[in-house]
Amino acid sequence: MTINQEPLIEMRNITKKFPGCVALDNVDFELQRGEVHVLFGENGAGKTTLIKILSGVFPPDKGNIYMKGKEVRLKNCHHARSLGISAVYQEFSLVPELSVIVNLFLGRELYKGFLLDKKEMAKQAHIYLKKLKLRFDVNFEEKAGNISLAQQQLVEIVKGLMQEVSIMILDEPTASLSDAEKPHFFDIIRRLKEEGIGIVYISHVMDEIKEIGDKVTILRDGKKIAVLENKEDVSEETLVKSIIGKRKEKIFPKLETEFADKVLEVKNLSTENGLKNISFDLRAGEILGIGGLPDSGKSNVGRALFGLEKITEGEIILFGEEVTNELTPAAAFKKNLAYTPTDKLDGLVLCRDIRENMTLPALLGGLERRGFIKKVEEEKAVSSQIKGLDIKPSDMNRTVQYLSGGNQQKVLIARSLLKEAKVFVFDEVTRGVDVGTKLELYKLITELAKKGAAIVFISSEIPELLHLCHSILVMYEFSIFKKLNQKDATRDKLVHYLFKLEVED
Amino acid sequence: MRDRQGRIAVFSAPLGVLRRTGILAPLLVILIATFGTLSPRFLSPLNIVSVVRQSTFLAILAMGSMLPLIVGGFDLSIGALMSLISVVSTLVMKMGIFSSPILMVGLGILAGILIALMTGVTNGLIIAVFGVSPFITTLAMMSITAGVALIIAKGVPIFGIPEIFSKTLAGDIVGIPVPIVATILIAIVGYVLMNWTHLGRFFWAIGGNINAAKLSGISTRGYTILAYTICAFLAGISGTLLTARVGSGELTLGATLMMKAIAAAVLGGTAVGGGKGNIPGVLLGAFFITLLVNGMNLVGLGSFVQQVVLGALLIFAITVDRYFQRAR
Repeated sequence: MTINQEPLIEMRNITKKFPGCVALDNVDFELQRGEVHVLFGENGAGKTTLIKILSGVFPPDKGNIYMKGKEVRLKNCHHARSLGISAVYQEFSLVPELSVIVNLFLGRELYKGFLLDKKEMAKQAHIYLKKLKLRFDVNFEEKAGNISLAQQQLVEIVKGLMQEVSIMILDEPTASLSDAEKPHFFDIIRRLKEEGIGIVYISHVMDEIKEIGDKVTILRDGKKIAVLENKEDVSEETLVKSIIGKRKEKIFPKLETEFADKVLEVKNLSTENGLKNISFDLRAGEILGIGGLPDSGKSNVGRALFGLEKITEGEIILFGEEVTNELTPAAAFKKNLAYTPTDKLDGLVLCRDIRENMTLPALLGGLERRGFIKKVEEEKAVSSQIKGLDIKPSDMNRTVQYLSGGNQQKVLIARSLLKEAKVFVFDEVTRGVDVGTKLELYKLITELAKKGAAIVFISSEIPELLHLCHSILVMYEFSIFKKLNQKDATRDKLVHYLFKLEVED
Repeated sequence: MRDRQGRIAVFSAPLGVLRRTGILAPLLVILIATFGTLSPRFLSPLNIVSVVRQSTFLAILAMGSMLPLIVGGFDLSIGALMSLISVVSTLVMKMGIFSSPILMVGLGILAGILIALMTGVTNGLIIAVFGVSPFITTLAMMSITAGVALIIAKGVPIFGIPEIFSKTLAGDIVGIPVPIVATILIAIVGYVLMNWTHLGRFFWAIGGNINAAKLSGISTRGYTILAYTICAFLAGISGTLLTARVGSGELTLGATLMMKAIAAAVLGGTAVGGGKGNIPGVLLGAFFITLLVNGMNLVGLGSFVQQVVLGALLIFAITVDRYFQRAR
């Protein structure tokens, strides 16, 4: 790699704060022509924030961006696009009902008179693809919704390339690709490198980073930890170590270790969405963590327990009763199992008030007498939850929309508490919540367990899994890869397992 | 003094009213001021009483149309459905199966209500179970019901129905016109159902966020079907009362009422797109629209102009609703 070449883009001292957290703290990043620069780090390390700043989604609070030596201020995505920065996100932006060729020229269509000149567009696309030497085995006339995910991704990339592009951002591009499709995809990336395009590449997959990455910038808690400048430096050990690091862990409440009876038993569970052979037990008073990379299937386990996944094989036994085939959200509530979804916006009716949101599921049992809502009792129950969880504002008639993320999350949790559930499934319950609220939630969860609730705690955050859970299931590709007990769980081990690496004791 | 959101307190009270009733309160003031000056008869007690009486049919229909709106859809078929009910019920009344006219009238009303319920369930099933858009479903249902009404009436109004029908349903109970009594009863029952039972909560939740409703264990399909069914049922009640008032089975009885009903609901604070809507607001909306039509009649604006005004009003109401949504 040439050293003294002028970088395509330089980001200096980039700082970005969100309410309650510093997403990026004085981060430098630079990208050379023709290199694949990998961004690596655990969840919440700041990768996404960095590429969002780079693609103009929002500006940094502090810091400067230079392109070819000149300072630029990216006003919006469109502006970034016009400067040659193209981003392909995990969710594609193709119009499924339109043909591939129309998608490629979307917004820049060629006309013959008043009609779309599909022939000319196809001709130009062919010339372009030939110039790029890209193998593009996609039928131009096919609807974008009908082609495979790999092909859609290719179309997306080509669409980006057809305008002047010098920087391409790929956010976990292989997440939707099968193993067979990956080599072809890497060929495409190599072709782009030959064209001198710089690529910012986010990935969690070790093999991929080793295969395609030229440089790796490692982020942790919003800070740049290291840059691996040479391909030879990139190894599983260095990457994993960099995540593990030495760090102050947040203060977690102490866990009880006495468990009562078994309340939940999952045996060889498989689902239509791909979960394979999931088995575990849960006792009253136990907090079971489920960890895994994005798309490892950890959320699907929670969904399956709440009757939201189609079960193809296996059994779920709740309080000694087999319920595999009768699980629906209503049935789960009735059997004292409560669930908070990954995305709190999925669970809340934003345009209604705190009271209504809290008691929505409770209405069907307990809070009604002869069909009428017991309003006095409802008010009492809701205000005791507001007090207990310290929800702000404390006015139960406030529309949920106006609450902060943390308080919205508390409303959602209060819903399960009102139902007096005995088994709780929390999916990423601390996501998008400020640090103070996180600590409150940790305390709440340990207290629930102390009082005899059984808890399934699904999380992407390593410290939470290590310190809040009695045991941890590590998911990889929709199956359980390892199970860890708290006493032998170390950060080191957990991180290795998350990436499906073995550790020698 | 400032309130929690930092607004100056003096302004926050009227703002609160405005947010709850939407644009209706200021519009009502403008309306009364305008027609009050233009026509001396407009504000006379006699005219106001007559407007209240006329507004009942619309009010009942609008309370119905509020429910599909709340669950995130709407029902365009209610106007045509009223016409079909008018035709079916009067035809049944004339069949003469029993010698007693009271029995025949009862049978006719029953037939009309049954048709309404069937239509509502069908709409709800197609929308909730098969996932067809409410727009297409109820637009098609509008065409079907209007067509069936024309077929079975062979294109002509139905006269010669038992007198007892109009005498009772267009008459008075203890000095109060039956439609007014019916409207009040329906409003009270509706208010209680919406605010004191889980029904309202579930409707609001389904329209506000169907995922959240599902995750709370609510049978979203069942309650969506119920919303369309109650809506059609109220169209049946309104259609029956209006038929009694007109005294004949009319092919175009509800032709202009569908749009007015939706406009009344939206003006009364029902959110297009779902999640919000309350009975008092809708009643006020229906009263407003009837008053507006009455005012336009008094100053001599013809029905063609009225159509334009009502259409513009609906667009205005929806735009304001959207604006408030975005402002949030």
